[in-house]
Amino acid sequence: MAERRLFKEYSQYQKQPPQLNNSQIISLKPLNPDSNIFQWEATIAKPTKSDSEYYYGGQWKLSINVNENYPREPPSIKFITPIIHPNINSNTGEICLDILKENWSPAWNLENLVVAILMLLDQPEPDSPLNLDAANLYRYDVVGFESLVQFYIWKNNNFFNVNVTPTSVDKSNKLIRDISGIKRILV
Amino acid sequence: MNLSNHLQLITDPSDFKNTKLPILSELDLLKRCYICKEFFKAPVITSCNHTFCSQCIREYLISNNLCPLCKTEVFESSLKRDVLLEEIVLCYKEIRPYLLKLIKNEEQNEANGTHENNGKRKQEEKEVQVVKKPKVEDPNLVECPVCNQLLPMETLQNTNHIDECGLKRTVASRLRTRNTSKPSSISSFFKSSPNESPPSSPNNNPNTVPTKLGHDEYYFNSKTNVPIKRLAKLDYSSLTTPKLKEKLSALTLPINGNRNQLELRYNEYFVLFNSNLDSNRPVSEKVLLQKLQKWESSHSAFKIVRNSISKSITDKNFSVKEWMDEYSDEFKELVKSAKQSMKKSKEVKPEENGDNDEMK
Repeated sequence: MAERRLFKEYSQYQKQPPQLNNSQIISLKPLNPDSNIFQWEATIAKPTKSDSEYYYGGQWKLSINVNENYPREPPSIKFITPIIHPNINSNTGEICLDILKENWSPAWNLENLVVAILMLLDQPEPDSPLNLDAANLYRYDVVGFESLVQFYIWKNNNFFNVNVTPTSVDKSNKLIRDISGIKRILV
Repeated sequence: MNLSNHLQLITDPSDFKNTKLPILSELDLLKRCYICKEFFKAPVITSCNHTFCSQCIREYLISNNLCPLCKTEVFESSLKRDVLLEEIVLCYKEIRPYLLKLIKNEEQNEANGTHENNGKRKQEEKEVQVVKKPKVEDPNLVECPVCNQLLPMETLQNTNHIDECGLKRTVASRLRTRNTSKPSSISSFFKSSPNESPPSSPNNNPNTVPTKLGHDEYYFNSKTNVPIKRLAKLDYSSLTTPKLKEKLSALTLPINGNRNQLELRYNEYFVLFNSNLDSNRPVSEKVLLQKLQKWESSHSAFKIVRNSISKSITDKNFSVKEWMDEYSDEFKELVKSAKQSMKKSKEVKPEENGDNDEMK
C-alpha cells in the first residue's frame, strides 16, 4: 500500500509541481524513483524578507525517509543543511513537529508536511525546544536570533539562488546585507 | 514492474484538468479514500460520518483510535459499510475511461477547428493521439479529428479541410461510421450500432461502450441484511504464545515465526478478513490467505525469517554449531571492530583530559 501511495504522489507532483502551489518549495522528489520510492528529498527556500522575518535568503535540503507503514505512520523528515531553529536539532537535523509524531494523520501527504515545516520555520515554538540555546535567544533577543540565523546561512553558504560563486568580498557584502536587510550596502 | 508502468496505471483527479469539464476532478476526488487516495474499496462510514476504505481505516485503527480527518474518537466496531457508495464507485470506475476519452476528444476537435495551434495545444493533441493510437506508422501524417483520415500535418493546419469535414459529417453522419474503423463523435457514444468494429478490451477502444454494467440491479436486488461473523480483535497482553498459535492454526494460518511476527500476521489477517466482509463482492478465504502470503513476503519484519526458518534461539532443536558456522564471518568482524574501537577510546581519553586541563 505504501508503495502505491508514493507512486501516486510522485505522479501527482509531476503533473502538478508543488512549486506552483507554494513558491517556497523548490523541489520535492524521490532520490532514485526507479529503484527506491521510499527515499525522498526536498529543497525549501525563503527567498525574501517578506517570506520570512528571520530566515530570508536561505535555502535548505530535507531528507524524507518513508517507511512501509506509510501512510499509517508518518515519514521521518530531517534537515540535511544545518539550521538554527528552536525546534530543530542543530546536529542531527531532527524536527520537533507534532504532525510528524503523534498528531500525524494518513490524510496528509508529503507536500503537506513540507508546507508545515515551512510554516514552522517562521513560527517557532520555544516552549518545546530541541535547540535550547536557540529557543532562549529567540525568546529574549529576537535581533540576536535573526543575526545568528543569518550567520549560519552565510557560514554554510546555503543562500537561495547561489548562481554566482561569491568571492570573500562578496560574501562579506552578503553578510552585511542580510543582517541589516538592506540590499548592497557596501556596493 | 518498472517505474513507467507504475506511473501509467495511476489515475488521479487531475486527469480531468485538461478536459472540457475540469470540475469533474472534484467528483473524482470525492470518490477516493483519504488514506490510500484510491477509489473506495468496500467503503465504511465512521461514527463521525467520514468514509474510508474498510481495509485502510481498520489497519489504521489497530494502532490509533482517532479519525484521520477530524480527530474524533472512532471504534472499529462502530464502522458501518456503505453498500450504495461501493456500487456507485464501481460503476463510476468503469465509466471513467469513456468519460475521460469523450470530453478530451471534444477539446481536440475544437483546438483544430479554431486553428489555434500554439505550442501547448499541439502538445495536448499529441498526448491524446498517443493514447488513442500507440503505433503511428508515419510521423509526418496526422489523423484528422473529424474524418479520421491520415493527412500531412501541413494540409490539416493550412487548408480548411477540417471545416469541410465538419460540414460533411453533419450531412452524412450515418454513412461515416462504415468507412472508418474508429468513430469519434458523441453520437457513437450513446448508440452501440452493429456496424461498429467488434469490441476489444474497453481500454483499447474507448468508443465502444458496454450498454449495461448491472450495478443498479445488484443494488436493488442484493440482500444486504445478512448477518456476518467478524474476527475478534485479540488482546495480546493476556495471550500466551501457544494460545496465539492455537488461534492462528484454527484460522488455518501458518504458525512459524517469532511472537512479533505472529501478532503482525494475525493483525493483517484480521484486517483482510473483516474488510472483505464489508465488500459487496467478498472473495473466498483462500484468496485472503494468498493475499496474506504476498503481504508477508513484502514486509520487512518477515524478511529475516525467510533466510533462517526454524532457527530461532528459543527453538528446542537449535543447532549452535550451524549458527556459529553461518555467522562466523560476521562474528569475526564484530570482534575486530570492537577491538579497534577499544583502542581508539583509549587513545582519545588522554587527549580529552588534556583539553579539560586547558579549559581549567
